[in-house]
Amino acid sequence: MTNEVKQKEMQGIERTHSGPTYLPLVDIYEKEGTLFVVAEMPGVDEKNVEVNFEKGVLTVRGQAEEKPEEGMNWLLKEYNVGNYERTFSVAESIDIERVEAKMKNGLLTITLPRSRRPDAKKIQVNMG
Amino acid sequence: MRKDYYLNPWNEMDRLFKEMNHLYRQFQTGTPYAKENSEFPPINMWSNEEKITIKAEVPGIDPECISIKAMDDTISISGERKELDAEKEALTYHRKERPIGGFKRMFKLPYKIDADKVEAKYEKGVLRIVLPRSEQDKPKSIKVLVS
Repeated sequence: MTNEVKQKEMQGIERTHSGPTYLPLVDIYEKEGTLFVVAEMPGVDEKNVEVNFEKGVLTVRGQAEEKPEEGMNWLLKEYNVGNYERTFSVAESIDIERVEAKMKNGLLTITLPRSRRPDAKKIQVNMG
Repeated sequence: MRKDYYLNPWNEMDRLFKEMNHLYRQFQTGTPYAKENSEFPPINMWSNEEKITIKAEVPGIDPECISIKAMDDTISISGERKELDAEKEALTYHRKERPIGGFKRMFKLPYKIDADKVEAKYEKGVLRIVLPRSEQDKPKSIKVLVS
């Protein structure tokens, strides 16, 4: 969670959903000028995923839903079903138009291609 | 299985250590990391007289790479968490939190199940297994005859 979000919460802005919120585990890697963010969000339907990229800040949110097991008793409980939320600051310049998000098998993959910029100009140093 | 766990004092130390790390991180960020102090995959289990239901969070794992073996009153779930991209050489990791490698979990169930009728479904990264109780194992109600 970023300080910004934390500050907002301290100012009394509350979340609109209840239940625990977890930080999803992520892998971030780069391949041929494209940044990939892969986040684990088991139990989250693609309809309930929100990806926001604004001013170099990437926010991912997911709401997991679970059907209760009717007429059953608990034997073992190792995980809670809740929401996922995580924020990243992306330093590189990203081509917002080409940002894509895909949800498959509880894994959210966000593709962030870098903006196509002309290669840096080489500056010749002249001897004085 | 539980008994073996407590025979080794390091298991408990290890668990405490993980829990302290977890608490510390939670204190720092305000948000707990998803299910990090649990073994993989984390499991939820329910039962009634008729059946046992198991749910496991296995995000991003190809269902074909998960093996479920059930016999009498035991079940094992195993598989492998693989690297994401086949072309590993061409990519640079900035952050790697998702572990890779094999996993296996075994459980002793409260009663014998009918292994032929076990059903497993994989949806949205969650595995759901339903294990019906074996017919022979079901409690029979016995009528008391009045002579």
